[in-house]
Amino acid sequence: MIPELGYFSLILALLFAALQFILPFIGAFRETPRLLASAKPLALAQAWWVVVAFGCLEWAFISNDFSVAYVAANSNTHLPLFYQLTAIWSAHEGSLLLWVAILALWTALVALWSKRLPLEMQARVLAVMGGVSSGFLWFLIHLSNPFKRLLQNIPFDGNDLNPLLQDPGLVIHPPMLYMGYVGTSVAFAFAMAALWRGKLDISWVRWSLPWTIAAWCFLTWGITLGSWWSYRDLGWGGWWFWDPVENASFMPWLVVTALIHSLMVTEKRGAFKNWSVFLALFAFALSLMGTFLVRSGILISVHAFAVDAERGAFLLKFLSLVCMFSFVLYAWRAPKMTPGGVFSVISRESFLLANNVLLFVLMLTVLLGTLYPLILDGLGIAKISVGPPYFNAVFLPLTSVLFLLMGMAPAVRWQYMPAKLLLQRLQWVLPFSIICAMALPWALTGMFSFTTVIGLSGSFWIIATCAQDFLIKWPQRYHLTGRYYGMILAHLGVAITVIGITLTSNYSIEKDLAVSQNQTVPLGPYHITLVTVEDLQGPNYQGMSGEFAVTSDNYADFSLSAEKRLFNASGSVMSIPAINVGLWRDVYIALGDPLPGDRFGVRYYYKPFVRWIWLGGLLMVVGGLLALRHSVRNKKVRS
Amino acid sequence: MMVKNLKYYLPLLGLIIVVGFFWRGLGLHPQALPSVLIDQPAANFVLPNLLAPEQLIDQQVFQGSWTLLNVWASWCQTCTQEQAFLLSLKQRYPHLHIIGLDFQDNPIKAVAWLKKFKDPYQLVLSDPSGKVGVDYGVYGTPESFLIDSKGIIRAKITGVLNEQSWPKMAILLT
Repeated sequence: MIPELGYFSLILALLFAALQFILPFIGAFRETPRLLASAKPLALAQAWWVVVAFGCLEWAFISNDFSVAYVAANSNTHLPLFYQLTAIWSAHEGSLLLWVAILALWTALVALWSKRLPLEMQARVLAVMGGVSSGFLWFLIHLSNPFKRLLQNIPFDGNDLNPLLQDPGLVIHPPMLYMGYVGTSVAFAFAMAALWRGKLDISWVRWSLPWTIAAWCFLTWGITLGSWWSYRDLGWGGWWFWDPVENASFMPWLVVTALIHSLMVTEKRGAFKNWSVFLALFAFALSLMGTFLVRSGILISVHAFAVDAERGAFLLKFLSLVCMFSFVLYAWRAPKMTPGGVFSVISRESFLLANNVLLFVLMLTVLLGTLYPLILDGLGIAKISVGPPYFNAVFLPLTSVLFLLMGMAPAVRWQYMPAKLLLQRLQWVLPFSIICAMALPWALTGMFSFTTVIGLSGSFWIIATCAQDFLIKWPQRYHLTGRYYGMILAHLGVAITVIGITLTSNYSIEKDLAVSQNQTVPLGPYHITLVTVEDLQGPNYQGMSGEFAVTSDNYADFSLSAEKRLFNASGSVMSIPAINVGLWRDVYIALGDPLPGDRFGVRYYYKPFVRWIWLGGLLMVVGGLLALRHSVRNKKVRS
Repeated sequence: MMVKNLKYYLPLLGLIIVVGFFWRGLGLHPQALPSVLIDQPAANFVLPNLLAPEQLIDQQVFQGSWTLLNVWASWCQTCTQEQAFLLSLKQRYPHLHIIGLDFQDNPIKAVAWLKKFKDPYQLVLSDPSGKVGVDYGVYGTPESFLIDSKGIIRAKITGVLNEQSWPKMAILLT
């Protein structure tokens, strides 16, 4: 009964979403206040029924209702309750329901927190979001119904949750990522509403900036968590794979990052209006495209969802419709917008513009790399895959320039600044950063590589310019806003992440070995011994556990136990690596298969500074939150 | 005026091109990565029979009838799952030869495994060094090859054989 109620709720939600789209739409043309005012209650009703549907599916999971096909495929009576609750977003149908639920959440938030918005603007924004919701609800009901019952052969027990996903990382990574992903729809809706209204004043920017920053924070945090999860869970010790699905989240991140900076210029100086609107449309187009890429199975990815051509075809049509409509509207309305304030070559505006263009070009290179296999396959040339070498090769030069500008932009004044003044201010900082970047690896390891110097120079340059700017502004610290502190923290976060990436990539030691018991292997400053391997019996798995002793001449000794689990229900095998975490380095051990001759396959990794990658992500989020707080307050004060 | 405004149509143009490729891509199947071994004669080998090590067997064993060559090992936990499915195949396809390739395994443990579980194979080739497995492009166990009566490899399945993966081979057998 409960699953049917869930399905019925989805139909009701679709009904309200369609009304949320149509009624304010008509209202905006006829200028009928009553129709415009209907947007908010309709949006809230739609969100309510989506939440009910979500609750019903959760209920089916908790009550082990294996007559529901989705529950039977992704849960099991022995699965801990915590994972039963989160198994909902472990496969296609449920994660699409999560998508819709998060869209409903954003819609409700926009409906509730936009009291200061003019009624006709609020109605238009909600109408656009209603249109997007309608499309996804339709898709959910017709092609991905999570409440579908098994009519025969109802299993006594479920198929279990993919063991890779039985990790706290999974519990929070997809919802966070979706919050960011779907959050771009709010910026999209504001941009569409503004285009539709034909009046692109500054108030539009002030309304959409907090939503954009909020989505960016979630997106940043989601990507950071995803990277951390794959590092600790997949047993490869990698933190980024340039996998199409990762790229699908990274591309909107690059565009939203550009959008935030562009919106700030538009807010302060009135410039880049067209560009800001375009980025807002584009970010959501990328989110839709990412959803399509993941769901259609059109590209090979580790995040393999069930492939279904019909689903892919629907999503492609929906994506084309939404993007076509928005880009046509853009091409029609954008030329009519008034250009903003003038600025000279050396001004903060032009530095931010340059950075915007660079971020956009970075996004295009990721897009090209992601779609290249598809393009070649489509032209019938070859089946290939594009790997890290391509991305690393194109990212190094582009990000070097990006970082150079990133350090300079805060130092430049708005509108105009004499070149001499800028040079005066920065002339010692750049050589200082480069010398530090060369000296540090030399002092610590006695060797340095080109990429290390580039990566570290960029990071030190950003840190040094941030510190210099902060010191210069310190006397007037009472005038510094949350947005300023947010900017400093987020930029420092980028620098910290890049330090982590540079040092991990260049100084990691990785050993894939076959060892027997009591065999000792050196790894960097450590010696690792396999002490024993024992059988293991868990609640829903069995397997083996290897005990490793790690000793060192200079540091404290410790022991680690890595596991290999065979999950009873699904028969899948998973390696649980053991990691000794440290601010300066991780020691990472994964246990592989038993090999002939009583030996075991093992992976020993020594990863310096790997934590900094995620620490930087955390700093970026904190910076984003500070800027968000400021923007929300600012909006309240001014409007 | 017109030319100046043309740039605002660039996103639209880009969209149309990308959607065109997506549309084309939906009809292609990236997962169906062709194995270089498909439609090639099975690689030559000489390996001992696991259960009678003095008897040496070569690729001639594939001649005369269709063969399912299943790569397994006693240390492979997933292979224990596959074993039941192989037994069911034996009943469904009485004319299909099911031959095991014991990959990088200790022969004593492998024989014990076959005794403990029911032996689904007509013949098991012992490849403790994994050398022949490498010639067949084996990444890991389990992996299966369908070889026709002339010794030509016709299909390959990486990973466990079960009701979901089997149809790919079943099509060739009917």
